[in-house]
Amino acid sequence: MNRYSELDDHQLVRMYRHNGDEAAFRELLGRHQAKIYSYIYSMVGNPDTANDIFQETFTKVITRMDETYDEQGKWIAWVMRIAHNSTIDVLRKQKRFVDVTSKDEDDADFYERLTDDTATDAQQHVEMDEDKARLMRHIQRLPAEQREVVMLRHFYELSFKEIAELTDVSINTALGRMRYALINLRKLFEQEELNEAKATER
Amino acid sequence: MKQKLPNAEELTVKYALNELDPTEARLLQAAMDDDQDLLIEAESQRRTWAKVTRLPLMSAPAGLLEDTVRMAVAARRTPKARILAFSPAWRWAAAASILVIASIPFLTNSDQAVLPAAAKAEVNVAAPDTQTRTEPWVDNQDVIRLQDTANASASTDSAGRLVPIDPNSPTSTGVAPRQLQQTGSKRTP
Repeated sequence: MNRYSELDDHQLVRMYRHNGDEAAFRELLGRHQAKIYSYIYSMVGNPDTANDIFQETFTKVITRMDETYDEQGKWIAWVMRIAHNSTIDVLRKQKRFVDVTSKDEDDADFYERLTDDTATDAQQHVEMDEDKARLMRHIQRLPAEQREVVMLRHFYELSFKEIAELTDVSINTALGRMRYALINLRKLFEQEELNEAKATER
Repeated sequence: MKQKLPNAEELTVKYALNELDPTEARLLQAAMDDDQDLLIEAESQRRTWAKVTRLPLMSAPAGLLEDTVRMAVAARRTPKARILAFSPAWRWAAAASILVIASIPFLTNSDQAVLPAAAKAEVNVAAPDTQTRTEPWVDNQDVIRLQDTANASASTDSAGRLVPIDPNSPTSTGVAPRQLQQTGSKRTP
């Protein structure tokens, strides 16, 4: 165990900020990268896009740390907010792109159309067993606002109050989105079980 | 008889995510005892959430992490002055300084700075008297005035020309003239 692992985030941030301590930054990144990356990945469902957003997030973290991060708040909460905003920006841009280029399509939810393609990426690029890959596929099929609440809760372990603040909605709205997400996921699981049962009958 | 809980939907979500406070837990439990549909909904949400929590954390690719560390180190090795010079706060400060410096001639002596020579002469003629009047004076309403130079000099000129009304003057006979004039101006020869 190195001495950096015993330090808290505040101390590490200060060491990096004031002395440019590479090991301190490495420790911070090591501690939190998986949560940040998992959230981004689960939202966009594509490894290349997730990598881009991850890099963009940390570019902002590094360049804005002196200006916008005050050491009173939790560093990781500040980074999560940047990651969340960067992810939402990308999803909005994708939505605009699809809206412009697919005018002839029906009014089906954009994310459902988008995630059909990305689901295969999730399967190909992430090493996880079949159950987890299936779960990821289902999560990818949720509308973005519902997926956002589920992932913020799961990966960032945020309370509904914190989720509401981060996504700029009321707590009741956040709870409502979670409820619909759970109902939709249940339907997807049930549908899948039904399909599997039919397949085994044949 | 089924007892409908007004915020049952929120409570079932909180139940699924294990976020109920003791009071809410008691309320929901009582409602679920009465309403089997509610019990099924809450329980199915809890099970669905349990599946979601099996989703593992994913690590970012090693190369991406190394790139990020390199970027972070490079940012700190850059001389601070250079980083600051490009930061938005310093850009704003520099823009404000330039603006202030550029506006100094306008603020101090704008006429001389901008107008051509002919115009300057004109302006100088029309310029107000810069001699400061320090004495207070009383206007025709017996109000003490302590005004600034330009207005005061104009008013003083007028006030200096005022003369009291002569009671023996034919204009003050007790009969109100059509155009009452209580003061008049000294005629300058």
